[in-house]
Amino acid sequence: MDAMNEIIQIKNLGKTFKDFWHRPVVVAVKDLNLTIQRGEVVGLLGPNGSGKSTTLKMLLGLLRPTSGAIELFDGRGPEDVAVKSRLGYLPEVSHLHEFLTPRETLMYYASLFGLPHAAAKRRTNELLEMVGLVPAADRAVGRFSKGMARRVGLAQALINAPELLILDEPTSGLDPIGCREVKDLVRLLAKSGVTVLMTSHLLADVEDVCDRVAIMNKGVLCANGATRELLRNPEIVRFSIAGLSTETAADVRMQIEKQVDRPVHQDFPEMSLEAYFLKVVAPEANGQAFKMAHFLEK
Amino acid sequence: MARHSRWRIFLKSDVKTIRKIFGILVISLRAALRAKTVFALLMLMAACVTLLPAVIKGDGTPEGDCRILVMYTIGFAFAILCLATLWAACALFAAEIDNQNIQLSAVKPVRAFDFWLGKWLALLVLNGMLIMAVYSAVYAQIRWKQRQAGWRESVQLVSRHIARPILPTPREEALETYSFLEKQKALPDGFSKAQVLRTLADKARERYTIVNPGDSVEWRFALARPVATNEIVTVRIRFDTEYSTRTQVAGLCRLAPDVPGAQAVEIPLSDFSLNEIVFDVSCEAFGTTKSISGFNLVFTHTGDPAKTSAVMLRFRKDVAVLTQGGTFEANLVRSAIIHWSILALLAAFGLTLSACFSLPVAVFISTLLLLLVMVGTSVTEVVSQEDEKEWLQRPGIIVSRMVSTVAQHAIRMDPLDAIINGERIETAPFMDALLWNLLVVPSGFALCGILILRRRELASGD
Amino acid sequence: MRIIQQSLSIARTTVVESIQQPVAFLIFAFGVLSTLLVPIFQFHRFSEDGRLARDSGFSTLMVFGLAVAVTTAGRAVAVEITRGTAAAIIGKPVARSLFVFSKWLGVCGVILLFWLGMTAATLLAERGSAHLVVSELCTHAQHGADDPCETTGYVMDSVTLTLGICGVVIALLFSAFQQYAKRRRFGVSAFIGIAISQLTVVALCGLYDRMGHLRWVITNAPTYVSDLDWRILSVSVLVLFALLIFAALATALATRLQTGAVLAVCVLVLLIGLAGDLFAGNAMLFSVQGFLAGILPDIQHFWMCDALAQGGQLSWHYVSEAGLYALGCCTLFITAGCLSFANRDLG
Repeated sequence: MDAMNEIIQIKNLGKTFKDFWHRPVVVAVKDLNLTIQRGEVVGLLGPNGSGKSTTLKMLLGLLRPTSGAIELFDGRGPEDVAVKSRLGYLPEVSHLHEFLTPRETLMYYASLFGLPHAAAKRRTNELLEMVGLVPAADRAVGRFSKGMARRVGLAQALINAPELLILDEPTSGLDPIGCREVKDLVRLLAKSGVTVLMTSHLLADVEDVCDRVAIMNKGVLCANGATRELLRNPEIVRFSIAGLSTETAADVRMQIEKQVDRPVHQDFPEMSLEAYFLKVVAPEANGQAFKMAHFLEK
Repeated sequence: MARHSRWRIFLKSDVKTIRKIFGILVISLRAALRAKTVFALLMLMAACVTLLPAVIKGDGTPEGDCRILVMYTIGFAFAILCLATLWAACALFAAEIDNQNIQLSAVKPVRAFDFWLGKWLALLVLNGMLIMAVYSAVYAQIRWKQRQAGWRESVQLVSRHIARPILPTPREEALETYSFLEKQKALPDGFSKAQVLRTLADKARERYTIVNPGDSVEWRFALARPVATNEIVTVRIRFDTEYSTRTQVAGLCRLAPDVPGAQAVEIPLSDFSLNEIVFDVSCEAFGTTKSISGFNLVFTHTGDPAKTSAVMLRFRKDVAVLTQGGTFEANLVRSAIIHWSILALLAAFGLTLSACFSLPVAVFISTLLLLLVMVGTSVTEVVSQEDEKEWLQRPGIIVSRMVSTVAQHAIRMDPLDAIINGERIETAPFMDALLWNLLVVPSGFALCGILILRRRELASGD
Repeated sequence: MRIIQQSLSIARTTVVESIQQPVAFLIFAFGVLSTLLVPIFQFHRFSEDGRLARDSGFSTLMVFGLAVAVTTAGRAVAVEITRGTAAAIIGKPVARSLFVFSKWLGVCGVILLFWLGMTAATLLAERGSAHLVVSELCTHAQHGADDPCETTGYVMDSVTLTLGICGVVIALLFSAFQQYAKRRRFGVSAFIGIAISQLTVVALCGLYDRMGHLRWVITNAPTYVSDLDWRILSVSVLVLFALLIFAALATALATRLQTGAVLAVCVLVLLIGLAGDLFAGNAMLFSVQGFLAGILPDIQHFWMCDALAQGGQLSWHYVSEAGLYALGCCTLFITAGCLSFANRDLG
């Protein structure tokens, strides 16, 4: 691990929620140590109440840690204004201003980054196109469905072309096509050097996208490592051969059984339900990924 | 070169900050304008300005109607705006925190100060528009009524400098009296020096001069601005006399400028049926070509001692020399600006409370404190020495005095009273009010609000 | 039976949800304290004893009661509709009209608690204000002719006022203790505690006289004389009826409007109701003014503070007639609320 490339350093982080009398009520996070490298896509997983969202909120300065320290980018704290200009955040529930349209929402958040009006306008149009909200750009967000509001939330998280993107349940409320688009976006962002930290209850999505996963339970980090390594079962070896006839397959199986003197399990791999759904419903999904790549290049 | 690039970075960051503050201002204005409550407020303002003058019955005179139009209409509209501003300010942070809308903004590179300033400026802009609308509507009604017969002659829309007699201040007089009593060993027992001085100053402020038949009293006046020979000087004397003998009272006023060689003008006064005498004197009558910066005024009671009673004057308040001081319109604008500054102060107060508490609690506390300020100011005016002796009443008096001291700069001046009396709102108290209401107090509130926002956690846990 | 159970369940939840808010007990505590402090901060002596205390108590009850009614109705109905909690209830086998009616019952429950505490505080404030007192010692011959017999003059019953104020403080401290020891909701305990504390002081004040002497010490026998002006009760009941009407109006309006707008409308109705004669004194029946005079409640029927001046009394017959009028107004507003809510989109 290269210390220069460490974009997030969490050291002995703890958060205890207290009541009015300062008595501890809930220990949300206990002694968390986590490091995230530049360009990684990390999934933070855990059951409900495990401390994932609390950790994210402490990273963003919305909550104050009870113990430990957080360092972002060049060793700065989360409340440093310079840090906030380099990150983007999509909360679990997009608490947007209901009386604003998507265009006004994005222009507002662009102004909070100090972007000049022309640049803000250009960026707003690009993001609206990217998330597919151009037809609804001038309708009040209060009348949007959850999925549409989520798209606005995603757009505002990208308004400043962040170096670090923090996504809390990014696919929540989105249809399968939307989920695929978000995952493709995350992959493309990672390719262009953006560090992504995301939480999700949809483990298949995390498995698809994340280079590394960290699993929390009851406020404690239980597992942390590269996704493929954590999921590998070294005790079982699987061969995948395309176009093998039934007879040849039976022969091969017999040979292996003779060698190992154990039963050998044989089956056909299945595509994921998501892949099948997209195959049936949206054959043009690849075209959408191309649009995002084009946007990212800009 | 390094200095030059440092300046460029500084300017660049300044421009960014201005953009951020402007963005927050715009969104706050949008929130206000798109909320139904603002619409309801506008309707209420419109109803107040148009219906109130029709509903409230005056004394039937044009002066009385003008007083209703200015005092009651603007006063009532201003009172509504005060409450609306306070409650809107309480909602600005509190509602965003309660609804968690603030989370997306708090993670952006914006300082707490920028948030506070942007929202405060938004309220200033909104209040400015509303105040302007109210004053414009009232002014339009006054001008329209002036077309009617009777109004044009009796309602004089003027703005005049007011010069009061040159005298020691009530405080100086109180100190002098205190020293005298101290030497005579006649100080009252059981009261502190501060209490005695306070009482003496109140008495000095309200002291009557009694002018018996045959007596004279003289005052000196220094004008804020010298008057030219082609201008008119107005003398105003308010007094109290016994009702039964009022018609028998007669007097003589002698007005002399403090220019060597100038003539004095004597004006006989015979109509004391009303409690106020006002007369104009043209400066040409003094027979001097030089501009006049001061006057001596001598009032002599020429009534029959057998038939008439004394005339009582509170010379600090009741005697004045008035000179031309700008236009009525400019004075009206000054009054509007003072009202706007008071709303700015309330906005700052409400914003700070909204950073501390939830919306209902902030609204309740702010309304309570506003009432406390209003009551406190009244209480300090009516409390007596006997009341101060009772231990049960002392806490209330102490709290009232504290509140009154804090608020005195903000609400010392009543601009509507000045407008009605045709008195110019002078530059010194005007600037003092603006400085206090727009800079000093809001800065204090901003500091408190920002400290609290920075300490406060803006999210809840899992 | 099921309907009653559902209704009571919704009403109970409404009461608890409302009184647990910090602003609820803040308003209540301030209302009670300001009523009790009025006799202390009376800087002008009026010729009629206790009138200022009574009128202040009734005014505080009306104004603050209106605030409590509106904020409770706003939170109970408008906020629940916005947040989706109402949809969750309507998704159960609960009729929409039952929802509105039960919410109104809940708001009435909160107002009733508030009214109890404020009425008790008004009784205590009236007793505590300066009254002409002849020394109690003089009226009892058994204390002997050696005791000087003189008129004491105007005396403030500071014991009652102090007990009333201490009652509020004790209620808050007890609620804090409950919250610390048993994690009970502070707001709920405080709100109920303040009402109970004032009623307790009302009960206790019969044990001593205005000078603070215990009656059983003076008379050597168990004596209980409350020395309270019970005429206040009838006028206070009228104010309660007015508040119940406003509760119904606020609940009906909250099915469509947010809390701010509901407050504005209720204040307007209050002002029009108090100035009814000026507004529609000679209005024709079939005119706008006449129509408004017909449907808007005439609050003047419920504001009878002046009836107690100069020793007057309000008859219970009048109170019962006013109650019927209030019932009619409440029925009208709740019906309108049910009709308004019947087609309201909750999604």
